[in-house]
Amino acid sequence: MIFKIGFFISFAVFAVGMLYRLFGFFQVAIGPEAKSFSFFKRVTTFLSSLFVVLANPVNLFRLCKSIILDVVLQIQLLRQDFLKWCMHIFIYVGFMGLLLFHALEDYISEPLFTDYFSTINPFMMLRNVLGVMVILGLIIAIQRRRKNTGLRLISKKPDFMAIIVLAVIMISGFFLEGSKIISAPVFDDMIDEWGSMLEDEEISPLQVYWQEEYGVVFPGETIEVTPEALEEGEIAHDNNCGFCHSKPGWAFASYPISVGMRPMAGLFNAVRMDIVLWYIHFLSCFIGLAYLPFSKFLHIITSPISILVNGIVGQTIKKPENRATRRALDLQACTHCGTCTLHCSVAPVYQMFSNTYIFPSEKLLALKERSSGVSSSPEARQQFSEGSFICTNCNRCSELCPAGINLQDLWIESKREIALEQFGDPCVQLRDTKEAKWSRPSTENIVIASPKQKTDPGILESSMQAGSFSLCYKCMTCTTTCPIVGMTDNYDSIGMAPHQIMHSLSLGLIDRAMDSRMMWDCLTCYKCQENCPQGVQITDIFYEIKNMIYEKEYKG
Amino acid sequence: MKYALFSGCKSSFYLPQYRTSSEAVLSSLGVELKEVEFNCCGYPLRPKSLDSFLILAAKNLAIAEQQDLPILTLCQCCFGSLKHADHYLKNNPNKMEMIVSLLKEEGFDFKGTTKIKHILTVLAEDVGYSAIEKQIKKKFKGLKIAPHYGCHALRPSNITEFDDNPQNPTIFEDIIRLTGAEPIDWTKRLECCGNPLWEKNNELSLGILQQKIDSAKDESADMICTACNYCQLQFDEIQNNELEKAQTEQSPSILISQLLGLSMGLSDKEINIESNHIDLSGIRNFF
Repeated sequence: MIFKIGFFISFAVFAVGMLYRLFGFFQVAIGPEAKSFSFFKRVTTFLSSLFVVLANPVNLFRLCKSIILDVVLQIQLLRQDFLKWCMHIFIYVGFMGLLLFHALEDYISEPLFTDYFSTINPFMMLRNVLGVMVILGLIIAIQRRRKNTGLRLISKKPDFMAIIVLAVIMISGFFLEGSKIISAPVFDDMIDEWGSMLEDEEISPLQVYWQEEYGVVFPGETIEVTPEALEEGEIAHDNNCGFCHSKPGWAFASYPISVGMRPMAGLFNAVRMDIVLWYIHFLSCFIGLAYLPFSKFLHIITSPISILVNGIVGQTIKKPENRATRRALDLQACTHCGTCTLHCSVAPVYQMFSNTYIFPSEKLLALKERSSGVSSSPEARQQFSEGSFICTNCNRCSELCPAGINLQDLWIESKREIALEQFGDPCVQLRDTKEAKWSRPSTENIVIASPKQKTDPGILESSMQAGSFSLCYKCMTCTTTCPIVGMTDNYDSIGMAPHQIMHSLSLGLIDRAMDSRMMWDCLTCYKCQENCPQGVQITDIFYEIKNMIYEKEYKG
Repeated sequence: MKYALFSGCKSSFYLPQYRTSSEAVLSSLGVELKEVEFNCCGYPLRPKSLDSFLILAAKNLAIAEQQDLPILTLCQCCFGSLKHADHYLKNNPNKMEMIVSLLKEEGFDFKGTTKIKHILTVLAEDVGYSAIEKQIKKKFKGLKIAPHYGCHALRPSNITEFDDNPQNPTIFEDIIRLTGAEPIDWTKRLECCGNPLWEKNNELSLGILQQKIDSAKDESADMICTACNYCQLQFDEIQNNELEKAQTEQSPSILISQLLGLSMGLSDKEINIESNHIDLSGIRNFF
């Protein structure tokens, strides 16, 4: 009864969750353009394109190739990281094997194998093989997440939750099998159910035989082991039990567990530990099923789809509606495996900025949370923007993603989206604040700058030649060679010309220099610095001032 | 001759033809390139944080040092950035110490011995003009090319050491001449392409680009030739998409590796001029 209720509840949660996800694939909008497409438009565009794509034999060939190489054999992962491939293949083969041939045995194993019994070989042993594979895979997974510094940094609760749920299912399964091996009550139940052919006097020798050969423990009962009883027991066993039961030693993982349980057998048999573990095993499976649409287990369904999409069309989807749909699917296909982050071209910046949104895996997670309605503070959006605009769109993450996610498209669109929310490129944000400072009414009196205390050359200590601006004698060579000055009629539009900036520095007006829009409109072509007769490191000083502005006005 | 190839962030997605054509040209010239996973050169981080710039650049130098290979960059901004960081660290012991200790955490024993070369300097200095000439199969006739030098390789010259005469460099012209094409002198030859301001101040960026194109057209150049990811993106994709000019008013841009590849008779697939946004197929008429 509990089994049925549990199953139906978890299946209902699973089904509702999956529908919600399916709906989301055509609803979630990443990028400004995506918001203009209706749900209906996206569904119809997807279906019509799917038809066109699959009608092409070349694409069908690619699809088959991709199913075998990318989905089943995970070649992409194998090329990148053998250990990670082993981890994934162990978990995936083990789990799928157990799901199909053990959990769904009524529907798959029994019709497929006429002589199927879960307690005979090769089925009993194979179940242990598959279970051990999953456990090995989980051990590798935990070790990777603990040992690899990059992965340790990004591993979060959901990553460990998935490992824990799987581990509970597997371990409870092994202990369940172990507890059944030693269980006298299970032995009695079996006699009641299957032993109608047994004579009463055969039961005692059968107990002897099962105690000695099958590891059942009969606490509180005195079982006298004699060669005659064993012989009689064997005959009774062969006639009644043998064709359904291989020796428990074949369950090479559960059997040692049962041996370990023997000293506690009295207690375990009394509390029916096998039933307790049965509940744990099934409930954990049901929890796993219900949790699937809301956890990284969802990738079991979504990742193969994104891998196949990638295998067929790569990064070349043309229709914007379909690109939007793919972005929504891709968000859910992420397994948070960290490959993107471990290979990210700008990841080392984290050592200086401590902003996890520099990492692609964390940007994707933020997009995913946002798409499911979690609101984020302006500070978090600014952090996300900073991380996003550090990305150079080198495309390496998309090339390496084992789930075939087109991360490049996500970054391009999320940058466009966040720029519309006033959290655009930090350099542009800073430049725009300067624009306001310099746009003054023409009637306003010109403020005559008067020298303050001398600028301490040490303030620009990281520049090549820290105090070199003080060598400037205002010959204006920098300004006359500057291509940006050449583009403008008046200095006001750029704030100040390069020679004026050097001059303000000598006057101690570093704030004035920092407010000049020229800083952010500088091409960094180094013509000023190259041509300066005094060797003033003008472009490098500009970089230095920009760093100060960034630190003070953007981060501070 | 063996180098660690530093193709730069823009090459994989936005400019794959630079990489494929360079690999084909260099391999025909007996240059071996090793595929190494570098990170960003640090150039995009320079306005934000010196330390971020240094750690990115230095990590690349450390990766190459571990391989015991000199770096060959395709992009001039990557080249300039790596040269700058190298120079900076050698002259700032405190920062060097900080970077060395950060790299040590990642398993690098960074000493700063890596040599940094750009594809043009490899062609001119390491391969040599005579070796290139031997591989030239077809020479262009009457093709006028405006070589665009690229700021970050050229300047600051005391750091980049790109050409012996930074005010009047000749390395680009010398290489172009090997293909039979005629390098023209143009007023904006050593000026910026405008790309550093792209997506930051598009009006200025396109204004600078327009000046360059006009200058090349004034000297009746058939096309511009570049040797940098950003410059090529600016002259090709951005010119094509943003300036929306008639074909006659455009000034197409070819990568130096594509120009050499054509002249060396390499396959279309390797040169990949079909990936360029502005049509370049007419260049074959100059053979």
